[in-house]
This record gives sequence, C-alpha cells and structure tokens, in this order.
Amino acid sequence: MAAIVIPSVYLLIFGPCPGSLRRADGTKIKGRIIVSFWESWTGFEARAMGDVVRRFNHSQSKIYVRAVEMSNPITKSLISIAGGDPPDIIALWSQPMGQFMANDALVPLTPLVRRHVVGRHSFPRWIWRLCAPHGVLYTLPATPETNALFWNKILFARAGLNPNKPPRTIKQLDRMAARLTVFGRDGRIKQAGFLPNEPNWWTGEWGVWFGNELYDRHTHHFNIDSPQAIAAYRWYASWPKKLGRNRLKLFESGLGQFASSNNPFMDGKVAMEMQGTYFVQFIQRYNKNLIGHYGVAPFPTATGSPRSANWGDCDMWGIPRGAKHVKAAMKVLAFFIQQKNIEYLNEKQFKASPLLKISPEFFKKNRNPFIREFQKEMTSPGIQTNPASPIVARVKSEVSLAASRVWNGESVTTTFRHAQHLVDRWQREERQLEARRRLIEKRRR
Amino acid sequence: MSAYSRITWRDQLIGMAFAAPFIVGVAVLLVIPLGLSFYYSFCHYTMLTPPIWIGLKNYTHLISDDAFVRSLLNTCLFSAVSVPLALAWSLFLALLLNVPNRFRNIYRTIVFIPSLLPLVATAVIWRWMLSPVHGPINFVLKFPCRWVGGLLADIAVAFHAAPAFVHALRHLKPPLWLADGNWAMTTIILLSLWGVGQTVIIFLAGLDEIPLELYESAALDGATGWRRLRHVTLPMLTPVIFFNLVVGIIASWQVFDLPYVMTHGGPGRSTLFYSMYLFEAGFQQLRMGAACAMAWVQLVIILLLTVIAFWSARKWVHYR
Repeated sequence: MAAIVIPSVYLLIFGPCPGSLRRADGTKIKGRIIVSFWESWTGFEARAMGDVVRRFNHSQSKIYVRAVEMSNPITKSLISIAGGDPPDIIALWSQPMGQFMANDALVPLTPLVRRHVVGRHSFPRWIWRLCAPHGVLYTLPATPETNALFWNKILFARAGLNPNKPPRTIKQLDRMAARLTVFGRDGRIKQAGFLPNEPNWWTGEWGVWFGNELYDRHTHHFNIDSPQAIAAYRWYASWPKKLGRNRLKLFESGLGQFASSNNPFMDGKVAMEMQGTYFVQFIQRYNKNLIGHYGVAPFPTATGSPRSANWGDCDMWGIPRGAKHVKAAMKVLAFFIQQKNIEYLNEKQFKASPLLKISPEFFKKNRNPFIREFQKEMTSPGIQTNPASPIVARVKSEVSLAASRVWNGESVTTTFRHAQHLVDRWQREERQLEARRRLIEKRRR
Repeated sequence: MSAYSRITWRDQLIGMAFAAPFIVGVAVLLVIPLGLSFYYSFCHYTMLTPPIWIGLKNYTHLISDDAFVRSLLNTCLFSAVSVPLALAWSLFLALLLNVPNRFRNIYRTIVFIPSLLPLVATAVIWRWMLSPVHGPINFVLKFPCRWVGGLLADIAVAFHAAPAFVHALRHLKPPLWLADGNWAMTTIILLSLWGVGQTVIIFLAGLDEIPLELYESAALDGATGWRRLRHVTLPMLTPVIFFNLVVGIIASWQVFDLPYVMTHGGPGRSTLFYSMYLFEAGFQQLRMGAACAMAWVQLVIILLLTVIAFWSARKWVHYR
C-alpha cells in the first residue's frame, strides 16, 4: 500500500513540474527556451520592465523570458560568469562596463547591427560610445539618465527670488543658495539653499560643470587635478566653510532617505538639488503637494553657457559570456529595443528615450512634465560618461574620497594631486598588464 | 604480536573508506581553495580571465596602497581597543550576573539576547538610535551636555580661560557619532560591546567551575571581596580569559558586517576595516589576486598575534 501511496503523493506534489504549467501571466512555457534575465530595478521601475517582458512572452511561443529582480546584479553577474553559469541577459550600467570589456565578459551584439536592428545612428553619440566602447556593440541601452537642476519654487518665492528664474552660472547658484539658506535661533541650519553632496552621488563628477574632461578619450588619461577640476573642488570645499562644518554635519545627519517623503528636496530641507530624470516620478510618488511647485533646468555651469556640460549614464542590457541561449537572448534584446517597447519602458519610468527617433506619442503619453527638456538634453554635445576602463570604479572611488577629504578641510591641490598620482600609477599598471595579457594570448595561439 | 601488526589491509581500507568523506571534504573545501588562493596571490587574477603570474607585486603594492594601509591601521586600532574592552566589560557583567539573586536568570537572558539578534538588524537600529538629529541617544545626552558644559565654562571663566574655549564649553553638544570621522571608530568600538553575550556565558561557566573551597579558605584567611576577586577568581579564570582573548583577537581582525552596514567604511575611510577592503578589492574591483594576497597577510597577522598570546599565556594563565 505504502509503495503506491508515497509515490502518488510525491507525484501529486512534485509531478507537475513548472515547465508544464501555465505561468501566472497566462503564458505556457512548456517546450519553450527559457531565457533568464537578471535585472536590478525594484518597485514601479521593475513593474515597467515586467510589462515589457510579458509583452515579449505573449508575442511568440518559442522563448520564455524569466526575469529575476535582484540587488547588486553586477557583482552577482561577474561571479556567475566566473563560475560558468551566468544568466542569458544581464542588466548593467556604465561604470562596470570597463571591467566587463577588459575581461571579455560580454558577447558582441554584432548580429543585431548586421540585421539593422540597431546601429551607430540609432542612438545619441554618447550612448553609442557607452554601448560600443571600441566600435563593437556589446550592450543595448535601456533607460538613459542625464542630470538637471531641480528647484523649489515655493522656497524661491519665500526668499524673495523669482521662482521662474533658476541660476544659470555657478556664481548665481551660490548667491541664490545663500539667500535660500535659513538658520534657526540656536544657529542650526533649518534649510539649505543648495548642498553639493545632497545627494552624494556625483562627488566624482563635479569637475564636469567647471569644464573638466574627466577622461580624455584621445590620450586615455584621467584628468583629476586639472585646473578645472581644482576649481570645481575648491568650490565644493567652500560649502562647509560657508555654512560651518559641524553645523553642516548635524544638518546632513538629519536628512531623510532618498525614496521617501522625507527626501530633503521633497520636504523642503534643500531648495535646489542636482537630480536625474527619474526624480520626477519619485516626487509624484512621495510628495504630490510639490507637483507644479518645482522647476527643472540645465544645471548651472562655471561659464554659464547652457547645455555645455552634463553627466550621462544609462542602464543597459548585455549577454554575458557563457550564456546558454545566446541566439534566443539576442531575439529578446531585439524585441526590447524596438521603438514601441523602449518607449513604453522609458515612458513608464518617466525617462527620456535612448533612441534618436522618437514617436510623437512618447511625449503625449509620458507623464513627466519635463520630458521634452530631458529628451533635448540627450543630444547635448557636452555630455560626458564613464569610460570603458577597468579601473574607472577605483578612480571614481578615489576622487570621491579626495572630495570627502577636502570637504573636511584638507588642501584641495595636495589632495587631488595625490589622487592624480595614484590614478596615473594604476593606469600604468593596467597598461603593463594588458600588454602582458596580449603577449600570453599571442603565445597561446 | 602487537595489536597494530594484526591490522590487515582490509581493515585499513575500511577505515579509510569511513574517513574518506572527511578527507575529501577537507581537501575539496579547504586544502584546494587554500592552495589556489596562495597561487593567485602571486597573480593578476580577475576570476574571468586566466591568472597572469606577477610574482610578489600584489604583496609589494599593498605597502603603497593608501586604502590598505588605512584599513590595516583601523583594524589594529579596533583590535587593540575593542578586545580588552570587550573582555573587561563581559567579565564585569559575568561577575554581576554570578551574584545569587531571584532574577538572575532573567538578567542573564537579557544580557544574552542581543547576541542572538541578526547583526544587520542591530546595525540598522543603532544607526537610528545614534542619529544626531532624530536619535534618542543625543536627545537624552543634550541635557547633561548643556549642564556639564555650563559648569565647565564657569570653571574656565574663573581660571581666565580664552573666550573661544569658554564659548565652546558653553555650547557643548553631544557627538555626531557615525556622521563624524573623528567619532565613527569610537562608535563602532562601543557598539561591538553590544554583542558580548556569548563571552559572558563562557565567563559564567568559568566562574561556576571555581571550587567553593578556595573562597572558603580565602575567607578564613580574612580575604575581603576585592582580594578574593584579585587572588582567587581572576587567577582561576585565566584559562577562560585566555580563550576569550584568542577568540576575540581572531574575530576583531575579521570584523565586517557591523561597519559595512553602518558606515560602508566612511566618513572618508575612518571605519574601513581589513575584511571590508579585502571584499571590495576582490568582488567589486575584481582584483582577486590582490585580495588573495591580503587574505594571506591577514592570516599571518592573526597567526602571529595568536602565537604571541600563547607564548604570553605561559606567564599568566594558571591551569589547575
């Protein structure tokens, strides 16, 4: 009896393996190639991506995309590639691209270029450079980002400033920030006009708005202590001097989380902030009262010339080396990058499209009221991005550390010169290793 | 004929077969990874491409690596302060909890509970507790700070101190804890005392082992509480203190989760610890060769400290 009952119970529980079932979204996956896709978004951004994945799964009957949301997918992807069991599609961004390239960790997407799915002229130049660092396409852009100045019109009006006139130069920004900064009776900062490290995400890039070219693509040199970079970080270091270092530390320690209604910009603690395209949706989610009471403009530059400087980044998709279903993954990516799908994804995430060709519906459907400004910024000639260098993460971390040192009172020139020496040394070592790697490969052949 | 010579090949094979899972396990999970990591420490290795032999460069570059030197010094400081502090604090707690009392078991449970909590949860709670603006600790501390600061300022005025100094005293404020590079390390050290429950339990077991006759004879000789502690309890506890010392040294050199969750090594690099930098180098910068070299240096340091502890134990540890 037991010989019949136990296997029957087992079969009842484990028998209908997932492969033969209908998924919750109604798609059958039996007999399909399952393409695993590791993505980094969560919440509403993941839901938008999930919609595109569902569209693909319904669009045909041969491939099924299984999307897995995860934190820190880059490290996990690299380890899975090293372990020989990567997913079929990974999400990545510009900073780790250099590491992926140096380690030959991505499959070239040349078939997509050959089949004219995408090409050099499909994207703005800086996005093409990110996806095809050495002229060969390795990734496809998903959602691009450029930065802008967000300003609180209510606080502007309260400080006697014209709420429709944001600063255009860094000097104007300083002057307005001074008027917008409010101190309490006890001397504490109650409201800051502007803080260069709120949010603390672009500490390594401030030189860009002062005319510094962080990475010279022709000489392959990182400019850390150029006169423009030094000017930028002198300006950066001037904030704690102006506002009082301890007062500022106390103020900063009381600022709320980014994705919450206590976000310093949303709850009026900071009047002007540098933020990306996505920020509009966060404002709509966490502080509806601010809608219509804030503005978006190009971030001021030292020279004051509009659209002369910006920092661009992009979430991307790639196929890791060792992926089991490269052809199927290629088909999935070709679907993702179709104009209607990429526009849907970016429209749902309130972002600009990475494509040069944009449909009029995209602007109509996109609920980001500043989408035209952000889309225009995408083709700005002054956009800089992370280079595809394997040491870029170390360089950015070193520059951020140097910035935190000068924030705490150390000499700008000495600190950044030291950082430049370090970065130069790492570059030299990297070149030597690269030469050695090539020699070994040559001998092996 | 000895028993040994009667063991046949068959017996040996059976014995080996029974021991095989352990031998294979140790070889696969310990010996091979150890050997490989030693080899990789002499290579440029990213995990994704074959290793390139670079000799001692990974080791020599460590000396000129600012982040490495800083993490080494931070860990040295943490180990040098937190280990004796944790030992003293847990011994103090164990002595208190050893006093016969109706609620002794409840007190012991209360002391032990924090060591059962997940460290990440503990770190998140403490981050909120220590928030200079919203945290309850600074809310409470600001009153004594005001009072003590005022008192000290009055004393300073009486001694004709500089006005700036008097002003600073009058406006004495609680520390900014993790937000201040000068206080962040102190904060992490203090927080490491939060989870001493297990050490306290070991001390309590050690205290229970001390024969009562020793206390009785000490009492007959007229020894009071302090002298009994000095001449009976502490000498008899030295093996337990030694055990906790060695375990504490090893744990302090491997500290990772608490500072990683609380500060990520900041502000600046003020709380960057050895294991954190090792993880960063290996898994974020993909310098697995350098990370392996760091791991071997860490092993040597821990080994040296343990050898020193064992060598010194001959002078101060009393085994019955």
